[in-house]
Amino acid sequence: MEEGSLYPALHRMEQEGWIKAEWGKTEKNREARFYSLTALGGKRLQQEEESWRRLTEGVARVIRYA
Amino acid sequence: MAWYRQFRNILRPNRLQRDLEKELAFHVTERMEELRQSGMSEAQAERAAHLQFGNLTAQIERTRDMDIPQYLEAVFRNFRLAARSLVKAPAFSLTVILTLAVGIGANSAVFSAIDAVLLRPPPFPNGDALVVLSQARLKSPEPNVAPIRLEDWNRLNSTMLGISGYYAQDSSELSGEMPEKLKREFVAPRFLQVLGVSPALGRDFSPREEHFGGPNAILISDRLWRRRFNRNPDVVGKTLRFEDALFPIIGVMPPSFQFPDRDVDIWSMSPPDAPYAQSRDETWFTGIGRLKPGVTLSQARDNLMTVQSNLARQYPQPDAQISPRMELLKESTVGGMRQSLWILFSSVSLLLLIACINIAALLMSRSTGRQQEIAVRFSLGGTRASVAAQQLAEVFVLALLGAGLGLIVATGASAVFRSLARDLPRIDEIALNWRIVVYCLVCAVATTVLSGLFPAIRSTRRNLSASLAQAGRAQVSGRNPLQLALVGAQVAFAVALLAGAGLLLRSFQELGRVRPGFDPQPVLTLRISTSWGETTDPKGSKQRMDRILEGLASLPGVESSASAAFLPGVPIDVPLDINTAEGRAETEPKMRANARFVSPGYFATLRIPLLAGEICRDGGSQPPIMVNRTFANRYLNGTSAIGHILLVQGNAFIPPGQVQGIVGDARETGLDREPPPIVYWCGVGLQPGTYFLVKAHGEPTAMIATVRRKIHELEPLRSVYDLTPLSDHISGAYAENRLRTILLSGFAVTAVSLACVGLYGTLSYLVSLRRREVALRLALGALRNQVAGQFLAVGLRTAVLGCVAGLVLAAAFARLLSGMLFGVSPTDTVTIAGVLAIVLAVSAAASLIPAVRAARVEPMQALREE
Repeated sequence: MEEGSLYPALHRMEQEGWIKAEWGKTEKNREARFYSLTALGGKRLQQEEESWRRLTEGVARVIRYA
Repeated sequence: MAWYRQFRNILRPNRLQRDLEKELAFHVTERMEELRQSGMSEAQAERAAHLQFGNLTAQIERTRDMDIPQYLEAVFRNFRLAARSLVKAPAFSLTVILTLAVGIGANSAVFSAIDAVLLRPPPFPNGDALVVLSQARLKSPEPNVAPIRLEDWNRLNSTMLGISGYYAQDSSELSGEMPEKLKREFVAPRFLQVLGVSPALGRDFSPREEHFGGPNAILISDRLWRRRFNRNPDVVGKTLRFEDALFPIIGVMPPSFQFPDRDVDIWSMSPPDAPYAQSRDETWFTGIGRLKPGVTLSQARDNLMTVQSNLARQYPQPDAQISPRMELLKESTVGGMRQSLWILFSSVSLLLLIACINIAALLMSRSTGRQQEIAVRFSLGGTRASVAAQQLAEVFVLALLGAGLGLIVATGASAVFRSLARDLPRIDEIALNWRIVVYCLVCAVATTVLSGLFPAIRSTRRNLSASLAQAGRAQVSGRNPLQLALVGAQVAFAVALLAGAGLLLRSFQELGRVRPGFDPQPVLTLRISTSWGETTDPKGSKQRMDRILEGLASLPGVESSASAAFLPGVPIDVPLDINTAEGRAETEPKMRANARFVSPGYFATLRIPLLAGEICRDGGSQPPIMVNRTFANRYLNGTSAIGHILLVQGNAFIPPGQVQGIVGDARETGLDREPPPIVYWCGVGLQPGTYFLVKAHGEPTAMIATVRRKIHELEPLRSVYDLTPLSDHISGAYAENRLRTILLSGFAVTAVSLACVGLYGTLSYLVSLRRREVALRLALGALRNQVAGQFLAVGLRTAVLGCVAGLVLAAAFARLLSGMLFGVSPTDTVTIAGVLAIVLAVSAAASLIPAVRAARVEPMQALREE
C-alpha cells in the first residue's frame, strides 16, 4: 500500500470530525500537521473496535467449527 | 461544521492547494531523511521515498477531494468557465442578455400588476377575510342597504366578526375663504374594527360618538393632513366646519388607508339610531364585513340568507323582497381588470417563449461551431452530463444577467403602467418587491431550461469520433430542419400576438368612429357639493337646481346648461322594470329600460334630437318624462307612446311620469354598446353626485374660472369640483381598454422583431455554414440569382409555414379576446390580411440580407480559405 493513501483517509476523518488537525513545529523545526483524536472520534473508535471484536470472534468461531 | 469548512475551501482553492502540498511534502521529506540516515545516497533516498509514497500529485488531488463538496465545486467551475467563454463572445452574450431583459422585464412588469391587483390580499390585516355586502331587491336596481337592516345583519348573524357600512358624499368645508370640497365617507359603527385598522394619530370613534345626538367627530386622511395641516402632529382637536356645524378631528388615518377609495378625505359617523334612519326602505350603505376565522364565503352567505329570511317573517314589507349579496372584497374591487390582466400575461408569456426559442436557435448555431471544443472535452474524459451542465451554466449566467436587467425594465414599465392607468383599482400598489425579484429568478431558471436544455442535449449527442474527424471539412452541410422549425414557431407566435393586437387596435378605431347619438364636444362637466340631507326637501332642491342651471346658462360664452345624474357615454347601467299605468297584457313584452335623470336642457346641450312630442312639457297630470326611440318602438308602437303614464313598481323614489316626447337614440350606457331602451325623468332635484353640463361656444376648459366664480356667487357655501370636459370623462372610461391595446401592440411589435432577428440570425448562420458549398457551385457555373433565390426561398418557406400555424393560434387567441372586441369579428379578414402582409414582408426583408450575402460569395477566396 502506498503511504500517500493515508492522507485522503486522514482528511476524510477530519471532515467527519473524528480527528482534528493543527499546524505545528516538529523537533527539527519543520512545519507539520499534527492530528489528534476528538471525543467524537474516540466514541467512534470504540464502536469500530467493538464491531471488529465481534467480527473476529465470529470468524474465529467459524474457523473453529470448520 | 464539515460543510462550512468544505464550502470555505471552495472559495479559496489556492490556499487549500498550498496547504495540501506542504502537508504531503513534509511526509516525503521526513521519509527521505530517514532513508538517508539508514545509508542511502541522496538520489536513492528521494526515489525510494517517492516510490513508497505513490504519485504525489494524484495523492494531493485525492486528498483534496475529501476537503471540498465536489458537486458544488463542479458548479463553481462551470460558472467560471461560462463567464470566461461568454466574455469571449460579447456579441452573442449581449444579444441574449438584451433579448431576455426585454422578455423577462415585460413579463415581470405584467406579473407585478397581477400580483398587486389580483393576487395580493387587500391592504388590510387579514384582508382575505373581508367581504362586501349589498342587497338585491325585486324591481329595484339599488344595491345599498338600509342602516337599520345593516344593524340587524350585524346583530343576528353568526359567521362574521362584524359588519359595518359606508356611503360617500361630497361636502364643503367652510373654514377657508372659498368652500373646499372634501370627499366625506359616512360610516356605520365598527367601521375601523371591521377593517382592522387604527388611526396613525388620535383615536377611533367612541361609543358615544356612534349614537345619534352624541358629540361630532371626524377622522381625516393622511392626504388631507398633509395638504391642510402640513402634517401638524397637534391636529387632533382642531375642527373643520361643515354645514354650520363644527367637527373636531379625533384622528388621522395612516397613509396606506384609502378605503373605499383613494379620494376620501374624511370619515364621519352615520349613527344608525338617528330618527331619519329608521325606514327599512332606505338605501344607504355598502356593507363591509369580516368573516370569522375558518368560515368560508358560502357558509357566511347561507347564514346571512337565514338571517334575512327571519327578518322577512318579522317585516314582510319590504324585507321579503330583499336578499343579501356577499362577495370577497378582493374580487369586488378588481372588476373587469382580471380578464385584461390575464390576457396581457398570456401574451407577454408568449413573448418570453419567443425570446427563449430565439436563444435556443442561437445556442444551437453556436454549439455547432463549438463541436470541436465539445469533442475535445469528451475525449479528455468529460461525461455527457458534465459537458451539458457546462453549457447550461452558460445559459443560466446569461439568464441571470438578463433577469437582472429585466428587473430594471420591469420597474420602469410599472411606472409607465401607473401613469397610463391612474384610475384603475389598486394600480398604485404596483411596486417592486421581493415577490417580483423571486418571480424574475424563476423566469431566469425557466428560460434556462426552455432555451438551454434542448441545445445542450442535442449538441452532446454527436458522435465523438465523427466530429473530431470531420472538423469542419464538410463541403456540403446537412439540412437544419430543427433550427428552421424553431424559427417557424417564433413566426407563428408573433403572428398570433400581432393578430390579437390588430383586432384590439381595430376595435379602438371602430370605437372612435362610432356615432354616439349625442355631441360631447364642447361640453364642460362639473359637480357641486350637496348633502343627502337636502334631498328630503324635493321642492327646495329642485328650485336650487333650476337657479344654478339658469345662472350657468346666463354666462357669456355659454350656449346652454343641463344636469344629469349620470354622464352619457360613460358605462353605467341602471336597468329598471317599468310598467304602464293601465298595466301590460300578458302577451306584451315586459318593459325594461335604463333610467336617466336629467334637466330639460339636457337634450339641447347634447344635441339629442327630438323626434316627436315636446321636450319635458310640464303641465300634464304627472311629471314629464321622455323616452328614446328604441323604447318607444320596442314597447309602445312608436309615436303612440306619447301620453302614456309610466311607473316603476315598488320603488318609492321614482315617481310615475307621463311621456311627453320621443328623442333620438343615444349611446348613454357606453360608446361600445348599442343604445338600450331609455326613459328620461325630467327635472329632478339636486342630489349628491349630480353632474352639471355646460355647453360652451369654444374650448370648454376656458370656461372653468368663469363657471367657478358664478357658482360661488349663487351658492357661496358650496364647493365646485371635477371641472372636466365631457370628452375626457368618456375617454377616461376607456382607459383600461386603451392601456390593454397599447401594451398588447407593444408586445406584438417586439414579438415580430424578435422573430425577424431569429429568422435573420438562423439564415445568416446557414449561409456561413454553406459558404464553401455555395462557392463550389458558383465556381461550377451556378448563377448568383439562383443562389440568392434558394436561400430566400428557405426563409420565406419557413415564414409561410409559421404564418399558417400562427393563424390557428391567432384564432384561439381571438376567441379569448372576443369579449373585448368592438365592431370587428374575431376573424376579421382585413386584420388577418394585414398581419400576414406585415409578417411576410418583414420576413422577406430579414431573409433577403443573408440571401444576397450568400450570392456575393467570391468562389476563389472562399475555397482557398481552408
